[in-house]
Amino acid sequence: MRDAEIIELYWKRDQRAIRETQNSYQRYCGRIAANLLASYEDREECLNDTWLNTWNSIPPQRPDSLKAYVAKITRNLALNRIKHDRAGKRSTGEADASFEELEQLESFSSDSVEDQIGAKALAGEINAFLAAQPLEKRKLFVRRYFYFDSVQDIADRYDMKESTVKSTLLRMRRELAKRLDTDMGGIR
Amino acid sequence: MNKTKMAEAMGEIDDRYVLEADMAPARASHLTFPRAARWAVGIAALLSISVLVPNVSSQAAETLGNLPVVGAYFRLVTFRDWDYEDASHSASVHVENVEADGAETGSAAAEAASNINLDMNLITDQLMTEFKAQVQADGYSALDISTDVVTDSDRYYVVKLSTFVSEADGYQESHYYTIDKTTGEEVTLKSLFAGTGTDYITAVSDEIKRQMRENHEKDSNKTYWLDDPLLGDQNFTSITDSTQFYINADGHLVIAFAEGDVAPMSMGEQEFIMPNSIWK
Repeated sequence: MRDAEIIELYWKRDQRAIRETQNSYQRYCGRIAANLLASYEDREECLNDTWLNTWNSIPPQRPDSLKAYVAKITRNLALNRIKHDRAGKRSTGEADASFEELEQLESFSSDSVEDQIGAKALAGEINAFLAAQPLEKRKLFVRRYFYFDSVQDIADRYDMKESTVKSTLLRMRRELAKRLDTDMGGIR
Repeated sequence: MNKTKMAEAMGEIDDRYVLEADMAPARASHLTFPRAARWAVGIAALLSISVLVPNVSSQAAETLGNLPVVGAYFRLVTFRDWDYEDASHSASVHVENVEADGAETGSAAAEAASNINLDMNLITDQLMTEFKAQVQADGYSALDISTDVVTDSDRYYVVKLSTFVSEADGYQESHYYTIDKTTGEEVTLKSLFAGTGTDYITAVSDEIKRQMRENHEKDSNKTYWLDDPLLGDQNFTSITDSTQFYINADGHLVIAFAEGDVAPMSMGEQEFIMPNSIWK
């Protein structure tokens, strides 16, 4: 069933919408959850919460892409679990490696700036950064920092050497950090 | 420090980047199916060709001497070339992507090409996924996807993605993408009427209904989902912002509907040419 048809089911409050969403995106969202969460139970809960959140938010939402919509819900739910995990045991090793790489970008900010800059403003900068990238580099960045793919998985997917993936991502992080420092330095 | 803050910000990126990164990479290699798949006895042949080859239309080449303001030159480049055939399934997928030659990264022309290609490739991917699932099931199925340049005038570049899916029945659907060469931007119905002050939804819808009634009067075999008390809210009432349209080679606005959308499936896809007075 096409996304537009599934979304119509949500709007008609037809519970087949949940089954169709699961049929279409169980594996896709499961992969995102598995990249972030170490335990099977956490991943299952995350997926179940994804379907529930989707049901509860459509309507009033009418996403252009159901696929991207559920991906973001799964990702956010998984990140929330990690954020509130005091023991630091819920995330996978690869997710932790990605977080550390992204933290390098935060070195531009002081604590006061960090308080002022919300995720939306940062997202705006990241979108502008991504828009300016060539397609293949943009895909690498999104696979690593949205999907949390391992470097090895990215290298396999795009038929590249791991060292090339790492160095490309490093250069891109530096470029983004420079952009953030330039564009958001005025907020200080 | 919140270790997930930057990661959370990445979660707000544009949907098209999320989708684009999940598309299967185009490879110059043989078709891959899950290794666990076992094909039914009687499969006749399996062909898979994935080649990236430049494809410049002669009409597009002729316009090279009259480069539009945007300075980019649009052309189609083969993106996916795949054929499959067995005893009860066949597929022919020949999809080209729009290339904005000479456009700077991040420019309107580059962005228009990127968005159009993403949309065409998503549609193609979804149909191919459904077809591959059908191959493992009983019954007959066929898939045909192709791209064409509909218009390449001084002002507009129009690409059409044609899809035909056949299982028990056949279903034809076309998707049109119109680029304004003077701005490099993809045209929407809304943008065509911007600044006119026209309620274009009503104006275009009323004209379509007028043509439907006129066509039926001239030929009673032409019936539409219009004014039929049995259909109720299934009757055609109005276009939307996402209704398919394009600018044809004569510079006319054409509104296009898929099979079954506004008329019986047997009448095929339907097109209505708008008089210039409505939108110019």
